Amino acid sequence: MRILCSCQRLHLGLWIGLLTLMPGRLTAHAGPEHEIAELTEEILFFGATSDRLLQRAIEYRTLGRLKEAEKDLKQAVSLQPSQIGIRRELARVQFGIGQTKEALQSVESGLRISENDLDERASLLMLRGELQVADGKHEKALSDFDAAIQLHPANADWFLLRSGLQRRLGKHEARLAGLKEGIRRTGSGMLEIERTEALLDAGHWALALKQIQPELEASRLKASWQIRRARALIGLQRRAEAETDLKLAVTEIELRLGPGLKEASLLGDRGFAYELLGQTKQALYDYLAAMEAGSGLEVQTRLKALQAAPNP
Amino acid sequence: MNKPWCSLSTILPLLLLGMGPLALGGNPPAPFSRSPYVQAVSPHQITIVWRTEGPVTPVVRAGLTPGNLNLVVSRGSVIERASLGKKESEVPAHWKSIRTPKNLALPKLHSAPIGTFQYEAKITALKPSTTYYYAVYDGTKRLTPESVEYQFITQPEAGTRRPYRFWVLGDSGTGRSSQKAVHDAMLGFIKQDAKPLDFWIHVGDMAYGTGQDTEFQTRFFESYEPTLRSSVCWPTMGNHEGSTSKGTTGVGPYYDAYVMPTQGESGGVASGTEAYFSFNHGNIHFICLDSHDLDRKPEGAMAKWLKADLDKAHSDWLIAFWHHPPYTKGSHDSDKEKDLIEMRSYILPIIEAGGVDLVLTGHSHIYERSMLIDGAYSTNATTAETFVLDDGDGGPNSDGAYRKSAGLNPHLGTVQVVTGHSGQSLGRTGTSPLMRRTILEHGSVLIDVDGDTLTGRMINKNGTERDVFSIIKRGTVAVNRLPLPWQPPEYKKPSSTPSSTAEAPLDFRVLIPRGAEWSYSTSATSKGSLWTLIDFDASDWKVAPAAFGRGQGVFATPLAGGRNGPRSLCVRREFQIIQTDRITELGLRINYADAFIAYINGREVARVGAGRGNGRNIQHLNPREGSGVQYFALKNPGSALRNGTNVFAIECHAASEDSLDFLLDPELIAED
Repeated sequence: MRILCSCQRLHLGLWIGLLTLMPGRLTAHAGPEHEIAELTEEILFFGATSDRLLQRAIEYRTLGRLKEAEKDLKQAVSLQPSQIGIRRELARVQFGIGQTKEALQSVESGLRISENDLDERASLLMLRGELQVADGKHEKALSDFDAAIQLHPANADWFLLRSGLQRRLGKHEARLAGLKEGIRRTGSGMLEIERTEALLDAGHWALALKQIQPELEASRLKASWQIRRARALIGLQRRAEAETDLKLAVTEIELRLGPGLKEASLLGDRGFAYELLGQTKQALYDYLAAMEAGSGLEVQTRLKALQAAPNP
Repeated sequence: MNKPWCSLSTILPLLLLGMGPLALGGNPPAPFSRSPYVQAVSPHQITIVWRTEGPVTPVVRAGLTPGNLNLVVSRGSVIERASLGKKESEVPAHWKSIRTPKNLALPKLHSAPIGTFQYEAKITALKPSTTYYYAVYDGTKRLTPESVEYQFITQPEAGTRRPYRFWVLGDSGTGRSSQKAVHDAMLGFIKQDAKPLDFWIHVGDMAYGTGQDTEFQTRFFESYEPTLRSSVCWPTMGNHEGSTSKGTTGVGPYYDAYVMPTQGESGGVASGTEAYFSFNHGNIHFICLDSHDLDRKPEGAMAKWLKADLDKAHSDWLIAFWHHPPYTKGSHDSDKEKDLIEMRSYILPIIEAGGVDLVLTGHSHIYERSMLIDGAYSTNATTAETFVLDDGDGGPNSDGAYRKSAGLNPHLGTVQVVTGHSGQSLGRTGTSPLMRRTILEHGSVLIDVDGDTLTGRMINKNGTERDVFSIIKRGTVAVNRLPLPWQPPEYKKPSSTPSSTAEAPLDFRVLIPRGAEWSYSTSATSKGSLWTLIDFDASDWKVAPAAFGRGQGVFATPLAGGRNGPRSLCVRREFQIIQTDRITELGLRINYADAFIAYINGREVARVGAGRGNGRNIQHLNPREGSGVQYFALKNPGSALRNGTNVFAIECHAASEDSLDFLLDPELIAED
């Protein structure tokens, strides 16, 4: 038997380990920690490639280890600068860490090489738009969203994102036109709902009411549509009918919320119903709970407006 | 008319040197490159999808009897897609003629082999709950055999109450024996039961390792071909498919493979995307989500659509499925991984507030089935206290079925099933406190819904029923949140796990057979790795058949032993590949001692038992432990291979001067 020195042992351990992992790695996926360990060994032994680094970064990201993911992605970009997808992934991770400026730089570098890949270019433009929103540059963001949708007009989610931004900017008619186009392109039922919201935000009360009525009748769970109808009725000065709807909505939501109070959209809806009923304190409570449960800008905007109002 | 593409399937095998018969499974018969399968069924329509090598004149005929296929869908009503290569220069000579302006104007397949044409024929004006037979034609020439197996049953009208059965599986697309065994076990079970499938659900990871088009073909379509031709598979995308397909754009091999309802054609609210959608089957409403690459947050589009869809669902039963499980301690841990935590904390509250009865997921390579639970959304470690409504086993013949009030009501309890155990290697890290059954065996799940009763069965790969649970929705049942529910036994990690060796694919062609003649040299290692290149002149090398070796055993070409015998051996041999983009995996079945490095066209594709370096500069050779033939999938064969002639080369090394045994007995195979 040969005697091995310690460094030989280490080295042998490494490659013997590789012998057992090599066949499995080709198809298996046995949890992120396991994947990271195997990819680390592969990188140590066979060298870093953009593919291995990207795979490891994805596993790091899954575990919320974003700094390590960023490091791998930066190296992957340097090894394969022409891979737009890696740059997009890097930008997402940097955005997640809160490095908006660096994320923007990563997106820009991707955009510079994306002339021939229109789907990737559209994804990058959407991401840059999201980054601009986070940076408070709403008009620039809107321009990016428009450009992305023009390149890839089949994504209902993107129409929805743009609609949300247009609402915040008070661009109601452009929003309605954009949603009409989105519905034509995708047929999405969700965009139909968003269009009803847009009609309400634009003050087209009667038109909205016409949209709401059949939806309400077709729905098993009615609270969202009752709140929308209440908004239309308030706009049409039919306050008493609106209050009936709002109270019915609150009752239904209470049944649906369950003991944990964790359904963010229901909390947001109930908060809005309370707000429309003038019950500010309950509205604030629900908005805060919704934010805690994962709600984003929509509820945050309402919350801020309510907090800014006199005697909230 | 003698079309060049029609003959390709016939000549391809002959041009692959040393080709042997397929081991199991097999490629579709010419001219199909993907046999016909059914998709997007509803009460009044269905879509038949198939692929051919080269174009055909697509026609589908269907009818109520095999002898009277009077419904005809022909060109003009058939969606055609094609893969013709991005550049003229990359197109093999035999496909140049099909790059016509007309064909180039067709929608493109993402990354299918060049020459592939896909056809999607929607048959409309059908009667609900009715059996139809169908056949695929090239103009007037029938392509599918005259067989009653080419049939489908349209969906019942929404709300219809009668017994339904569907199959659920996940993480299966390996092309290996466990996948086949699980499929066979299900087929055996339903045959014995005399109760066929209405449809099936795949919860993702159906085409390992990265969801490439060829992986879909060999590891999904060829594996499940008999089931696909007559019952619809409703899919959700797994993370492995997500490597090549994107939910945000709906582009990739996954989206090429399936036709999913985006406009509410099969019931539910139109999603406008194939990434998530819903459909009805009788009195059941199904919801499919993309847990892999879309925003999971409550204000994201998918969550908003989910809420809107649930608002309008009126069925007796609500069942949701996606890839990443909210609760698991299998090969994944739902308390540590972001995707899983987000599905639990953002999506499950909507699911349970909407009254969903059953959630089906995969990703974690294990079978786990929960008690009747509600409200466990913590982003930290999952606990069971107050989240369990019934801690029995749900077995109709043991603790009794889980009971819920009739109708669709929020927070009356959901059963979670993780069915990521249908093919991929299994794994377990612990025990989720919400799970009533945790079984580390390959298998799949059959669900029967009959009126107010739903029954789930886990059938393992041997065909044995390993778990059964029922949910009965009847009358009014009071909700009782258990402060101290039943606790599953603590998981003790085994002190050692048996080492597993890689398994060869089931469906393969032999490129260089065992016992083939090789050019060989015992001194070429002095030439670095030049001898592995395709244009290396090996005319002065000897030629002899494998196996090469000395020591114990019988060798076709014995090598000298003792101190004068060689410590290393280089062998090389040419082989032909007509079209490299049709290869899913290249693998080496080899008996060896002690170490080897393999090359294709000069590029290293496998290294076993050897440290850094090669030839005379090789470091750290280790005596092989064990013996017999092992399988190694070769690394990145696609980038090493080229159309036409290729060279496969192996350098084999004895671990030391004292090594008595020296052996090289290789066989090169291709999964295609």
